[in-house]
Amino acid sequence: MITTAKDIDRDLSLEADVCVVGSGAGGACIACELAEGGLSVVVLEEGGHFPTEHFNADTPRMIQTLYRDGGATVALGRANVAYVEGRCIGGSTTINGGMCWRTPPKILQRWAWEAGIQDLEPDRLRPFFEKVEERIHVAHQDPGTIGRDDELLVLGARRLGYKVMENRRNQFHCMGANNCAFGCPTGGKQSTLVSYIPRAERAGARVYANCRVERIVAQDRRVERLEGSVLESPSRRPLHKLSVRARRFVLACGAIQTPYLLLRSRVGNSSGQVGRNLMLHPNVKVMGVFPEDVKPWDGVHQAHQVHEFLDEGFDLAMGFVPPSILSLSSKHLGEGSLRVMEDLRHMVIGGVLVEDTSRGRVRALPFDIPLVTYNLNNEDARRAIRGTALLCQVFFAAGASRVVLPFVEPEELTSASEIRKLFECRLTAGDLELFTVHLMGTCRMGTDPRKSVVNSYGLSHDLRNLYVADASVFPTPIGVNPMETIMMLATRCAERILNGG
Amino acid sequence: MSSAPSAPSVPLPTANELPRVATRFMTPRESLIYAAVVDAVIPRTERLTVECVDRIVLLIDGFLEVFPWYLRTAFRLGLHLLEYLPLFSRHLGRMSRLSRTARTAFLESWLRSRWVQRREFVKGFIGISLMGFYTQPEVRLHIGFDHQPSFDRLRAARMKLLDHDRQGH
Ligand SMILES: Cc1cc2nc3c(=O)[nH]c(=O)nc-3n(C[C@H](O)[C@H](O)[C@H](O)COP(=O)(O)OP(=O)(O)OC[C@H]3O[C@@H](n4cnc5c(N)ncnc54)[C@H](O)[C@@H]3O)c2cc1C
Repeated sequence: MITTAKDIDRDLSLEADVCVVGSGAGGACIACELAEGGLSVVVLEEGGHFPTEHFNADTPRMIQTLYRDGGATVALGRANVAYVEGRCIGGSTTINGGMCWRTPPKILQRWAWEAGIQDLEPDRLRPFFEKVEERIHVAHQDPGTIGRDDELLVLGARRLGYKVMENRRNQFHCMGANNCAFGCPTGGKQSTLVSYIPRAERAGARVYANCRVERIVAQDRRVERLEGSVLESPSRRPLHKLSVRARRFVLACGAIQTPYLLLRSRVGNSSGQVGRNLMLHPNVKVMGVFPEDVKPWDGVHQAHQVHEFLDEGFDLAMGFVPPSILSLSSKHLGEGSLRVMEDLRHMVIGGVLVEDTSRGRVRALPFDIPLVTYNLNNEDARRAIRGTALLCQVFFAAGASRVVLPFVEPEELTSASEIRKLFECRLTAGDLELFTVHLMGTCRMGTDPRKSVVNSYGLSHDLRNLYVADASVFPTPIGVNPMETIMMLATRCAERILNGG
Repeated sequence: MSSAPSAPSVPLPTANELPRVATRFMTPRESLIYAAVVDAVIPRTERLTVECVDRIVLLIDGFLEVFPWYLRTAFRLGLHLLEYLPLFSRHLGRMSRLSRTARTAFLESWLRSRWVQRREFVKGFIGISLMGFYTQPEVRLHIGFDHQPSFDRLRAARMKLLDHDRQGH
């Protein structure tokens, strides 16, 4: 049973073999593997515990309960990038789309060249991937659950001869409810909330929700204890103090919060790299409007991706967003916004995901303020614009009557022949409407302690009993959805710990 | 859902005439300024008019509860800034004292500005107001989007599949 703030009536002092901070992709996975390996494990999660029955179509309410800071998180820069992170049991896996991709071999090759990591070869990693895929039930989608919006994207791409890949997703009897980003209402998506966490508990792990770690106390190159607070929900007012002692500690707070915690605690940063090297797969949204009734909310969130341009550094896909969220980036007020929304049932909402070369940074300001900055460079802006043009082409090839663009000007196109306008009007990074859901790389792994924060098993170069097992260890962006890579690395890290490493 | 047109020929209300709601995280003054923004942002057409300014103000007030202190402060400071910015525009008045048409024109001009900072400043306020609007049941009905019934149906269907699995089929 998950312990929440309601069950705690005094200061909390815990002991375990391993303390894992965060219950998302990395945290839940490593906690489960370690508990099944016979260690006593405590999991601390800052967010609340919301089981499947809690999830419904009240999107703003879901955002308030499941997203960090009500989803109002932004990386500041030339073009601000809105980002979101989960803050609940299951972390971002509770609100993610469930697309599962193994790390592309060319990325592992790059990690070997750029970070000196020689032991991450596809053959050696296969058993870890297989284990993860079995645990979270990675499978192709039942064709009966695929929506018309996905079919149209595939149709357009195939007409143009582009390479289309079928997604595998962590799902078991996914019914295509298409509410992945606000909590799966049927329990079909196998987020860590319904997969790794229950499994970890069955193996004896103790899971605490509403428990925020605020400080790492270290001495003689070892972490001695973690300190934090038990938070009231939803006000987040501190109710009780929290202190945990363990032989080993694992940080899995995600690529913003892990470096933030290290920076606040002033530990583990002899390289000066903590918080640097933030990568975030910037995304632009493009909406194709079709004469037919598409009803984009019917059917699975995303069943295919266009991988034709992966080598150029971007991919194309679709994914429905409810009107309340779509309107957050509206370029119109009043009737203008209504006109767009009245077309919602005719829309395919597509996106371009850029494998970025730009880098950002997480800083810890006084008074508990994390500052996230990121400047999209011209190269990435160019790729986002080219990706937008290609997605427009796909939509027109599938029969779209118009396409709504992520720029102030031009705002929309009505035929494929107008696509060249995108290149004529000298768009810059500042003209792009950017968002992201993939944050990576702020405690990167590597062999050189001067240039990296952890080794390839996630072990800190500075602190002998501190591991990082989340998206922050990526040395480069991976160009595809990151969850499975995070889980694979966490599983590998667990094996190393269990073998006494 | 009523269908009153926006009727620009009749005098439009200023924010002082808008419904006042008991907010927990905005002061009465801030909620009045925010109501003026919401009132200027939400659609009112012959096809659809939903009087829901107060509901939206309350919804967004609820978001302030989950914001960290610095975002809550930024939001509230932003409201005060928004109140006075129109004084320096051709509208020459405070946001909450302008007519709805003038408020809409002011916000629209900032939203469409080529200057990123201007756009970004108003975009957040406009975005969350519209989010509140498109959450309203009447509005969802109008645009033909209602997810919840399908969730209930799909939940039951999945339970059936799981039962089926359990029986060894
Ligand atoms: C909307 C959305 C859609 C996505 N879609 C996909 C997809 O389809 N496929 C895919 O592969 N990836 C997807 N992703 C990305 C993927 O979910 C994340 O990359 C992944 O979950 C990150 O794992 P993590 O362990 O680094 O962090 P998270 O999963 O975010 O977990 C971190 C956890 O740590 C907790 N935490 C943070 N700080 C503290 C603290 N101080 N004390 C205690 N707890 C703390 C947080 O509350 C959170 O629960 C999506 C993400 C989002 C947000």
